[in-house]
Amino acid sequence: MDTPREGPWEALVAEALERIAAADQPDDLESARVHYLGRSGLLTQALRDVGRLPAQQRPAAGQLGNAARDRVSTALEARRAALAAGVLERRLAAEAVDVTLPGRRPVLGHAHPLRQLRAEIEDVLGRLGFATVEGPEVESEWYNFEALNIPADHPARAMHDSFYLDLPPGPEGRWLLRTHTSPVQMRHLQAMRGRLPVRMQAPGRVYRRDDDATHSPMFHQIEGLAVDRDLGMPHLKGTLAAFARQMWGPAARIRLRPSYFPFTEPSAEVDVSCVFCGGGGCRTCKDSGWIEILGAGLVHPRVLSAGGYDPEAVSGFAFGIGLERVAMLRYRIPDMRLLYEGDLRLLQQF
Amino acid sequence: MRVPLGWLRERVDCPEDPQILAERLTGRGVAVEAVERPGAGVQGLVAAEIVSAQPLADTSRLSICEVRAGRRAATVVCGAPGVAAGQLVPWAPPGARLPGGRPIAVREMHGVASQGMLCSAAELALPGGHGGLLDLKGPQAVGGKRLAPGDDLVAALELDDPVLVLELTPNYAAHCQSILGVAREVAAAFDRELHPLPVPELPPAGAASVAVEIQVPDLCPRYVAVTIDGCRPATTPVWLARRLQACGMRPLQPVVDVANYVMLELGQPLHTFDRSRLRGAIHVRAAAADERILTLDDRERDLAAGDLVIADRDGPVAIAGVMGGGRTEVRAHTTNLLLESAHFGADSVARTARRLALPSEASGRFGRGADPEACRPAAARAVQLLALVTGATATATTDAGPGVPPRLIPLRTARVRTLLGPGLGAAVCTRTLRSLGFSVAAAGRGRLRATVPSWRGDVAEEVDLVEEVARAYGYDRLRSALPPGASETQTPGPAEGALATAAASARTLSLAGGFSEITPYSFHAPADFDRLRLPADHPWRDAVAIGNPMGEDQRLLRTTLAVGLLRTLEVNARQHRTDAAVFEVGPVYVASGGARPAEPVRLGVAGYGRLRPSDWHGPADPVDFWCIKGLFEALAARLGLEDHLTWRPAAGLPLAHPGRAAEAWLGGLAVGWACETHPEVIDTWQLPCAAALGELDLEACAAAAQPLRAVRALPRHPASRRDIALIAPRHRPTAELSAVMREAAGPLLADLRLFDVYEGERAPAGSRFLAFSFTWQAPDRTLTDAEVAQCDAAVRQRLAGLPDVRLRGAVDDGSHT
Repeated sequence: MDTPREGPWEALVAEALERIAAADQPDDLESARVHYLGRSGLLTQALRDVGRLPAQQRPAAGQLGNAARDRVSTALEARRAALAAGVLERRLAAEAVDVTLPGRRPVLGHAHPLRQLRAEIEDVLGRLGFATVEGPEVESEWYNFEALNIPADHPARAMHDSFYLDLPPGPEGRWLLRTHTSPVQMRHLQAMRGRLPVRMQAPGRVYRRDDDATHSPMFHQIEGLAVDRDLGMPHLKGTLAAFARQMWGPAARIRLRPSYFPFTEPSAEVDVSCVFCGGGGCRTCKDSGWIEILGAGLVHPRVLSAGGYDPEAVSGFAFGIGLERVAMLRYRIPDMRLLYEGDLRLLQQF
Repeated sequence: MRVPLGWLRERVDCPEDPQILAERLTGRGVAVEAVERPGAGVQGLVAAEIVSAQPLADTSRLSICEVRAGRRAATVVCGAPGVAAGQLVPWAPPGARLPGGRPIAVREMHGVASQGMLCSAAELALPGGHGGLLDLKGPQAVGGKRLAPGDDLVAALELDDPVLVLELTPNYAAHCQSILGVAREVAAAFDRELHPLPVPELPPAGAASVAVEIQVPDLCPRYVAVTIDGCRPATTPVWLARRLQACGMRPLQPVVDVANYVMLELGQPLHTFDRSRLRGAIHVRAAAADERILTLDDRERDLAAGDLVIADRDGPVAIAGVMGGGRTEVRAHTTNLLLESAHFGADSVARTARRLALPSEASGRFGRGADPEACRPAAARAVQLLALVTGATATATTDAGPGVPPRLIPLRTARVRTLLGPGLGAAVCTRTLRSLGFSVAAAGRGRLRATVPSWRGDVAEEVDLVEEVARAYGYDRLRSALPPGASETQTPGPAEGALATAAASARTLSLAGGFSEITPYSFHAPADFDRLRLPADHPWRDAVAIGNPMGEDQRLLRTTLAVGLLRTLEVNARQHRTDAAVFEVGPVYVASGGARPAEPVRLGVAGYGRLRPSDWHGPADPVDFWCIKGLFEALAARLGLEDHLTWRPAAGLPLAHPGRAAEAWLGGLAVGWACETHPEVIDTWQLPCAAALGELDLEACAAAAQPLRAVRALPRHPASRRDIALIAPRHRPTAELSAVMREAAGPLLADLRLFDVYEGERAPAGSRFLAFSFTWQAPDRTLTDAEVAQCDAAVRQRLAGLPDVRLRGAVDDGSHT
């Protein structure tokens, strides 16, 4: 055997690398591996031959041989990875989808706008400390009228054209469908038995004999009531201003106009700065910059008395919001009756 | 109340721009709904004298008139009847505009250049008239002034006067139902003085006086009667008729028109009797039960005992404050009058007007509380105007009754500060109340005493004064603050109670299940029960009825949500929808023997077709019996009732397909139902296919709910699965078989699931294949194969003992899950 030289290793490596590079199937690559690095592969053989060299030549030759084997196996590994990547790539290409096709949506129902709005208002008022309380829809005249300072001959009763039920009157008078959520005030005051502070909200259905594009025989209100020592108009204004900011954004302002409700005094109609034009004037607010949104006032002393509270010791405020009006304004719903009909073409927009 | 601005300006200076006036009044609680301009556009009209009038050649109707208006003279062709020289008439010269803006120009008529037109009342949008030209002779201009040729008619007749339309709340309705009342508010709002209205004194009592006896001074504290003689036939002056018209009243007859005019101006309703038909003294008394009266509208009316009437010797001549009687009605030739200017109690007038269904301008004013001190001034004003219009003179006055003493109300300034805010002390209270006509005096430490003006009958107690202070001070100027202890960022408390939780879960799950929420009406038609195929004695028919519904379709309070659900499906089917799925969480109204009905809250679910239209992913789940039942099962599971809710085939559900209807039970209580619709129901409600629907009582569910209190420990040892397949009669309820198997399985059974039901051809007739999957597991160890085999065998052995069930070869995949 000659003195070990680089030459033969170089040739062998060059040949092997060429063949590895040419392999474009995993099978070709495998047969190349066997041909050079297999048990009886060319490189394996050559390395085995190093052992037969004289002892002083062996380390150098072995070093060269090992380096040659490493280069070939590295090339093999690299090629194998490349081939595998190609296979994966082709598979992934084949698995591609048209991402512009519509997705598979969960089948979800649509919450009714009035319910959504009620939840929103309940949450806002809840944050202001008003706990939700509910009351019956079938009410007695006492709770719906008398206790709220609306005696039988009071002209305000004409404002409530009520649905009376075909039932024998009870000790509290005839039965009717409540014309407002205010009777819940009275029921809650009685239930609280003089405790303070009172801060409740009462959402629910109410009924009046009215039916056109902006009136419905059934509609929804949320009533708010606060009773404590030394509550007054400033607290009503502060609460409603906070309510308006939470509902319609930090720029929303309120305006109170004197009005009349039998169960509050002083009473006010409350306008909110028009959410559509910001107060500059538009079609929705009839160029006034304001939209009438709720009625409010200080709880009438007679109502406090009827509820078991001493009007000399405590005072309070109350307000009522019509949900339909707010929903119709917010979503520009032209006819209130659409809210009750259940036409899914409308409901599915929510 | 309608307020012509020109009339208002007579009593108080108003801002030039009616919008500013409207905003300020609205800000004080006197809501101005609109500012109308009925004569907008009119200009250039003048009074003109007809110097000569000749028929125009070749025409039958036209006249050619020479007219003179001040220094102007012109030739005008006129088609009106009765045109004659010497008349004073409205002339619209070229360049003028009629109300509404119609322009007037020179017009060639039959060869004559007509310089504009001469006008009738109708052409000027004025009341009355008879087709001929408007006669301007007499006290026709505002204030009873006489017109001269050349006078500007737009100003003199207030042809372009704006009208404020007030929408009065009940408390301000009384004192703002007159020009004077609104003028008082304007004066207070702008810090002005009222202009005086000079009227002559009423004559004293005398020989001509008519005696007045008030038997019920509570109901009539004041009765002023004035005898007036020498009325001549007349026509109502144009300005007066126009003001009545602008206020929404129709001019009728001069005497009546004057009475109405004074009522509008001062708020005091008046009545006039033909004195020649009155017999003896006037008695103000309560009617007897059997009395009748022929009213002005020619109707014989039965009076009720207690109705307040004005009577003479022969019986009632008027229903006090409501309507006069026909017997003493003033007619065109009446010369001698008795003018009544009285104060009647609000409740009595309102009650009688309501009972007789006779709402009127007068009863509306008395019924809301008139001004007891207005009787004499109103009578004097009427006398003044009757003299102007008819030439009559007042001869004697009878002033009867004790009157109404002024009301004194104490006001604590500390109370005002509490209710309206710090800073509103005695000075503010005094100033604001005085601006509204109250007199205010100090009454000891921290106390004021306010004397209520006679026209403010609505102010009766301290809180009313507080309101007056607030609105006069200005709501916008009051401070704003959150109540003590409140903040905008408090965390809301959880909704109270099990029902709220159950209702919230019902909504969440229904929405997640693909159902959209509806809010149908709480009432429906009696006929809807027939449309549900309910027999006459079906419990759902026991509904509470509304006594005064708006229509038959809103007669009954619902006892089931089914009607609203099906009606909604019907609405959507009409839109040719192939799929619909809706739900409602709401109350039904359960009659309870004449007492207040119960209002249990229910979940109602309904739909047809699929949960959504098919798309390229394939069809969605169908809305069928299983869909409804599955939703209820899911809700029960959410409420911890999974193992408590049981289902039985439903009887007594006539709207249902008899083989696809089930009742849900919780213990011994039927709490709901689910079904597919009967074919007749499909037809009746015009549905495109069978619908599925169901109803679940959320109150019963909430009452039984078992909220999760502690979680089960997670299993630490693997479970084993074994399946059992069997053949059972098709009618054998699987729930029964499951119960049997559960019982036989014992405590190591972790889960039992029915995973296949086969009813196809391979199954023997009348039978079906069922396949159950058993999961066996122990909390403390891994079960050995022998233990699992033992469990499996126990179940199989029990099944083998059932005569109608046959096991199909064991399936044991031996897998661990």
